[in-house]
Amino acid sequence: MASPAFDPTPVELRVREGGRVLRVSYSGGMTVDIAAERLRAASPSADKRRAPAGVTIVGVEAVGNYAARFIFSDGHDTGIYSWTLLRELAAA
Amino acid sequence: MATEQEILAALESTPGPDGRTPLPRSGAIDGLAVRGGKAFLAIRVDPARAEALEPMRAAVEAKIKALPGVVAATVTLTAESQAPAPRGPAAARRPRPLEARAIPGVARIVAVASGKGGVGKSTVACNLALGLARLGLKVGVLDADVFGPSMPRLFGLAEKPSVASDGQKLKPLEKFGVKLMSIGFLVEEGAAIVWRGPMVASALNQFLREVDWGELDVLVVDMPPGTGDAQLTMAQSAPLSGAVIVSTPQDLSLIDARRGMAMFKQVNVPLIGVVENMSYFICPHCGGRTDVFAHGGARREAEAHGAPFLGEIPLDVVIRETSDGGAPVVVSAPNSPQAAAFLALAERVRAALFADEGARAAPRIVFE
Repeated sequence: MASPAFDPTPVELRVREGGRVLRVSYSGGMTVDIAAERLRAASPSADKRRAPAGVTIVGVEAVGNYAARFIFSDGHDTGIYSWTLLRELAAA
Repeated sequence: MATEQEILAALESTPGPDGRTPLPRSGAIDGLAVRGGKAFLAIRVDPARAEALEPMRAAVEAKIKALPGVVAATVTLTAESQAPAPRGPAAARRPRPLEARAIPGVARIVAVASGKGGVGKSTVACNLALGLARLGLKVGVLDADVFGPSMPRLFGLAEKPSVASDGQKLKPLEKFGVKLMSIGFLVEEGAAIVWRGPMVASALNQFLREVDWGELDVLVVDMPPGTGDAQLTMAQSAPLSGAVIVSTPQDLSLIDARRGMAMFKQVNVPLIGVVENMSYFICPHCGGRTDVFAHGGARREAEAHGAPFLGEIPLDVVIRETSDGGAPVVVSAPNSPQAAAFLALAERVRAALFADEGARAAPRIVFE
């Protein structure tokens, strides 16, 4: 978990380049691009099937206040990405 | 003991899904694992051919089972995941924005929760809602305490909700200027509801979305007590603006209140604060004050966790009687000191809700 002082909630999730890249923006101006393939590979879902190369993001949906669910072009849509996980992906 | 390599080697002469290419070279193996002599093999196939490929599956399973050192073999066919799910390209590309999850017409949702039962959570939720209404807000109450719905009794209502004119949604009941919906309207009082977490969450979502709430400034949700699967699922699936934790001052209750705070923190629901119920007792005969459960524990606990302390509600026979009698103290004795305690709570909750506006906004979702 992040320290309580730091809020990992992004300001914006921007799907770019036809779904190949997710641009995550945080308050304070930090912006990070995460490739869809990397996002897909980091899926925390127990049900993650093998991802085909060139997988893209086709949908984004909120989960409560704490996470987003991404829908990928291979049909994988069970990964719930908490803001903390996204922040870790953005920092790595 | 057989290894994964030995199993693959043994399958060199066994055809894969296309009936010709040996399985290990077909690229269809999705996973292979050996655990304590038990082999697990997953073969990826086109779902339309799953039935036709059952003989292949059985043959592979028999072949592995016959290997020395294999105690048991489980071969499964998994659906091919290359093809996108059956959503058309247009539908798939349409972003589903965060706003879509909000409840139309309902501006803010506040959860009233407790780490354990018996701390007066529902009484606090009921009087908090009535207090917010007295402050001029449009208020609804959703009694989501599936384990012990008590709003019908607190509001003195026995009738059932009806279906709205559109034939789609349930119409909430209305009393004391507050809209009310309870799982208690739909089941007999005293009947136990034994539900798993996902069922509770889906019931909550139905009550949020399939009830004709109209325009509300605040919807107060009376949560089931505790921090189990059902509560966590509810906390994370509803678009909550904040949570109020109710605790009594004694240590046992405070330990559970701490769990409640941790639960909401985990799913990123802002903690509005902790309210201490049954804080002290004023004797109706002599007017002397007794700190039955010791006093001030909730304030210390809240401060230790950086959560605001929302106030103290006394243990009082008037609150108990008016609650059981279906005439909550905030409406039946609005000028009493007991009602004043709830009104002060309502003011703090309102201040927290309106001060936080926009500060914790959900991220924008943009498709280029």
